[in-house]
Amino acid sequence: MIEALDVVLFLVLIVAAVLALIVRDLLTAVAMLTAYSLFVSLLFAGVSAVDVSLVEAALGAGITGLLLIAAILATTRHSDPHPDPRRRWVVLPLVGLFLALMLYAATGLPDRGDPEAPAQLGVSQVYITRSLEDTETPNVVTSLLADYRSQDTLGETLVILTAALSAAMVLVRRRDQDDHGEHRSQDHTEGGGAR
Amino acid sequence: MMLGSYPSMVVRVVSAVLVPFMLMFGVYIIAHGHYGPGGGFAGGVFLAVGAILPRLTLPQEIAYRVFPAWLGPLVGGGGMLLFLLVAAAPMVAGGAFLDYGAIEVAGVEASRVRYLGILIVEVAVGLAVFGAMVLIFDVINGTEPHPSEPAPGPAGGSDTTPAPAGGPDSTPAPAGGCDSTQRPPGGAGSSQGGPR
Repeated sequence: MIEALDVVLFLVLIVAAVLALIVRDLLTAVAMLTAYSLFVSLLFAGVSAVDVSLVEAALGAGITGLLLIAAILATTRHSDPHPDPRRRWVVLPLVGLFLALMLYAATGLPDRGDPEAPAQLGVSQVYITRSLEDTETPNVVTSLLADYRSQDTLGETLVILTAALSAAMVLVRRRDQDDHGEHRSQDHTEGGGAR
Repeated sequence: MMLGSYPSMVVRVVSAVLVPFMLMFGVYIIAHGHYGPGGGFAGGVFLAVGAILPRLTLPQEIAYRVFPAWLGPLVGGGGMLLFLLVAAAPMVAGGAFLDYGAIEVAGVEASRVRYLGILIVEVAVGLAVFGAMVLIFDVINGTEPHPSEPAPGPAGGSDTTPAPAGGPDSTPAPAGGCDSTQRPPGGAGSSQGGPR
């Protein structure tokens, strides 16, 4: 039953991804990407990874779509037509090759929940058995992220903040170029009309 | 450009009603990370969505009064600073970097200290993610750092009116901005009626 649901979700995923690539309207593409993230988070929940599922739903289906919509509203809503149709004769074989490589690599992966999997044999057993008495935290994932591997979390937080500051540094220059609001708006309208 | 009062009243009212619940859910996600799915990242994102939604739908002076533009960098940096302080505190107590259990508090077990350390770290991560997301949204939209001061001059005049009057008044602004690629006149309307 659950596996049938998985198959359906994967099919919906593929359809959403392809649609997001095909549609001309970028707002529709963003909606498709959001739906894609939503179904990915459902799949994560299906393999009992509720923490990852929640983050995927919040980040992928929530704020990423919001930021992309903001970017569309700030620029243009329609994607450019394909530059050169011959390009697909290069891209398609590359995509097929990559797909074959990934499928080949997937055959070597351990089964889901395999106790002999390499990831289960290292320190993770210690974390799982001792996290409750070490940190009094029932959710192992939280104690992993914020205690045992908090240095990773520190790095991730730094990365997110650095990304935001980099975006600010790149985009905020637009404000410095002109001090008069009217001139700036006119420039923007002309730019929008030209596209 | 697209910031400002959304033409549909249904959208405005629904988003205004939803925002407090979004913020509460974000706080819940952060605080409940010990016992269920969640934590700083997801909770911070929920908080950020609660701050961004008013900027998309509500009149500017209301959205920026509740969540000012300086909130993003300040809260983000503050969260990061809090994380670094918590990370460095055990070193003062003689432990390793990020080893909260090394801090000795009288009457509190080491495991409890680690529990509290996790809580503080989750809050710090939530604040940092919130600030980062709000900052990214603000710079994408090209918002002024203090929109309340420069905006009322040339462009924000129409937006200083209260929401019921400002709603229909600025109705063509978002719609025109949305379709500015197809209809340049509409885009020009948006540049005058829009808050910036």
